[in-house]
Amino acid sequence: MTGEWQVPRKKTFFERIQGAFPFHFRLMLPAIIVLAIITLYPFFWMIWLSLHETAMNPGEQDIFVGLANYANLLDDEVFLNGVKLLIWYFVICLSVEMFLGVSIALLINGMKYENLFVILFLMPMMVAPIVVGYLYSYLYNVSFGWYFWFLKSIGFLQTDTILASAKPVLGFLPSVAFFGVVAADVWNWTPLIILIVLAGLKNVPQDQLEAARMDGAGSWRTLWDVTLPNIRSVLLIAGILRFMDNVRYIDTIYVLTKGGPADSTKILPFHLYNISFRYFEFGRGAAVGFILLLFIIFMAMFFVKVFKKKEVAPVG
Amino acid sequence: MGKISRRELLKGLGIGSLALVGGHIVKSPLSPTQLAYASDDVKWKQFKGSKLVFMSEDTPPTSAIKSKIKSFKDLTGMDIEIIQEHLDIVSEKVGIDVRGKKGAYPVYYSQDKPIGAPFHAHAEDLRKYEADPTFPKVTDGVGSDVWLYRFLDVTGRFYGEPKIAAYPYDNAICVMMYRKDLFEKYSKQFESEYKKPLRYTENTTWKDVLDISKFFKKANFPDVKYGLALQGREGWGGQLDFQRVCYAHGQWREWDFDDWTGSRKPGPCKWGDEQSIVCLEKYKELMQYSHPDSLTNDWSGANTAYITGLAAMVPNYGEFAAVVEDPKQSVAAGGRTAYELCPKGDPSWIVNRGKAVNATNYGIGGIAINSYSKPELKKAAYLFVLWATSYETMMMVLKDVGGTPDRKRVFEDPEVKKAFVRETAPMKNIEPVEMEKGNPASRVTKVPLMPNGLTYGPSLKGILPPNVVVGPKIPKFNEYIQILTSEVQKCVSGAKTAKEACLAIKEKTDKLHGVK
Repeated sequence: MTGEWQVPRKKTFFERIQGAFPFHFRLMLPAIIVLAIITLYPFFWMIWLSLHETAMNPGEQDIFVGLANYANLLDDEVFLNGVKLLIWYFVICLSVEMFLGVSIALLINGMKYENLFVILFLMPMMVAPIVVGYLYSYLYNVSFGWYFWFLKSIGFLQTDTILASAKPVLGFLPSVAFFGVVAADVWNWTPLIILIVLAGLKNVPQDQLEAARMDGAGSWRTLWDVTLPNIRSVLLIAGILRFMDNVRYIDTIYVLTKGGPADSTKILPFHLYNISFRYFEFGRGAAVGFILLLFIIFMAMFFVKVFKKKEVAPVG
Repeated sequence: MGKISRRELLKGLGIGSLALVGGHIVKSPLSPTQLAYASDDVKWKQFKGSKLVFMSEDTPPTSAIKSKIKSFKDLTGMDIEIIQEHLDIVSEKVGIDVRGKKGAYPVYYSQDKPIGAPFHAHAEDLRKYEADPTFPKVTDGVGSDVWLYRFLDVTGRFYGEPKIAAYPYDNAICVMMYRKDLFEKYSKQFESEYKKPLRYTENTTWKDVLDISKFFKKANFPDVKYGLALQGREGWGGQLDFQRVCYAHGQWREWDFDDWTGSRKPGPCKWGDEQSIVCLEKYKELMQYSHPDSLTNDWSGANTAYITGLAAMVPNYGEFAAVVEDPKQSVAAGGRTAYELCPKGDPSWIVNRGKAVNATNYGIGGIAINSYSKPELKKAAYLFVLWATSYETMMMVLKDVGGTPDRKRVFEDPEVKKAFVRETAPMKNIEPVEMEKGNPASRVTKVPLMPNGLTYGPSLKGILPPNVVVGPKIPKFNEYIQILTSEVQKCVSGAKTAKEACLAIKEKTDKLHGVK
């Protein structure tokens, strides 16, 4: 039968799909579909919602308002204050937690009772943030709070209260109550940084440390030039994790201050919670949520850029 | 023990999953006509085997209802799951549920303003069930006049509509609680300084309260540090706290519409007028001499300051009497506390030529039926609503575990009447508690059987005109109180003057209501 023309067989539907999508993509497809449903759908729905004034009562219709929900935010004092407080919040929390976390991790790394210390330091992280809120509300209580009594006794606290004081610290920083909330967050989440950094420290190459020692580098120099560059990616992960936690943080504030006094602890996520689930203004809430999302994406990209290690081409 | 068949297992799973979304229903085999002519006993049992879910605030009355729920189960054969949460969480969960038209909570707690005002349209009209002959009758019925003064209007009626969205279920009426023992102990010293007796009566004004607060704070006595504990926390607690001062002076209110039914479009508010500014200035002064946490305290925080002996006075809600009178929890127990009407307005603080009154406000918890639940489930829910708000249930929970009844008849009971006054109040024996170490005279061996009863005298006076202030019942109440309390806190903290804060409240509130 040589020499006869073979009419190419028409590909079946499945064969065409096989051609269009490589094998590994097809394997991932179910997971991609699930992810799309649980992330993309709400994402687009949020954008749609943010362009509407949602109906409150049965029989009413949502009203399309265009970008009015976004425009009105520029005039919303609580929103603008919330953005400012949020920046203060994650900058202070992140700085203190990173500093304490890295310091403690370096201190206990390789110690005789390292495991015991790890367990002790991890305990606060096991406590739910809402419980931390209740715990600190007792500790700060003027009537019987141990922290209040201690800070007052040593003369550190200049006000007669912690949580009811809207007085700015040093005249330009956020309020005393705000720092009360920050302290609770630091106590609750520094252990996470300790844990992540400790894991990173275990992977610092011993040969590099030994070489540094043999070259006569002191502890500080070794830390700066060998240890920290080696745990850079770990620090990035810890920083991004804590940042993302901070920008959606409301649990402890909800219990401790409800955003008061005088809006001095009302960081943006708490305002978002109020708009959406106390005033039930879903359209306005979606607009705030969308802006918060853009802010998170922008900041995450910023973090990645700052921490990105420049690859060095091998010599020779 | 026999094996469970596949059919039984599936049936069980089905019922279980239905229970997760608001309960399940087992219909009566009787027709509506048969039920209408049946006895009350049969009517109560028409949904035997069904299950309901009740979402409630974690109030003492709901805890009391929960502890007595067996009598409901015995009466109806129904089961009920009672979920108790903080009021804000109840509002959030009910709000999400009704806005999503899910009906997961067939029965829910409906505080008049935080939940009723925004969501009443999603509740069933209870008049429909009242007219239905298939439901049993309860003592006195459920008409307007069986409840305390206009309580049904407060919880059930909104914006001039005839619909009844909820029945009164519990209440928290504000009274002044004060340390009678400390007042007697330091009377002479106060009198020599302020040239007036250290006494609290229904004629005591807010200015007198300020003087007493100044006296205790300056004196710094070993047994009490502050004269007053307030509750200026952001939200409803703060709004109610400040409202008492405002209304006491010239019956000042933020709007002139009828407070009992409220208004959908309240129009321009009166914040920023002379009287509101004076009231805020005076409130700030009161705050300065109060317990230092007063700006962040709600009712529970203020109560803590009082029962730990840090404050000599606290305007607080009657339900807290149970804790105040418990010597294991409170240093103010054992007859040391007296209860009186909230302070009167001081004539020298009134600039609007209005009347000075003992401004009293409250939160009346209603009980409502979710309009998105299934029709038969709603009917079963009405049986629970009837039972929970009946005279017999209110009486039972009051006498056995403490409650805050709303029906007039309860207060006509001779034993309850005796509970109004400490000297005649029925008492119960307790394990002796020594209030002061090494002082046998301070030993408490008996406590009132119905401690809340001690607040009923001033409460029943406070809820009548001209003292009572109930508003503002507006759809955007929850956002309004945030605006209000946040600006009040800015003034108290010194970030704004009273005038600036009042004008800011006006600007923001008017904007909220579309007033240009």
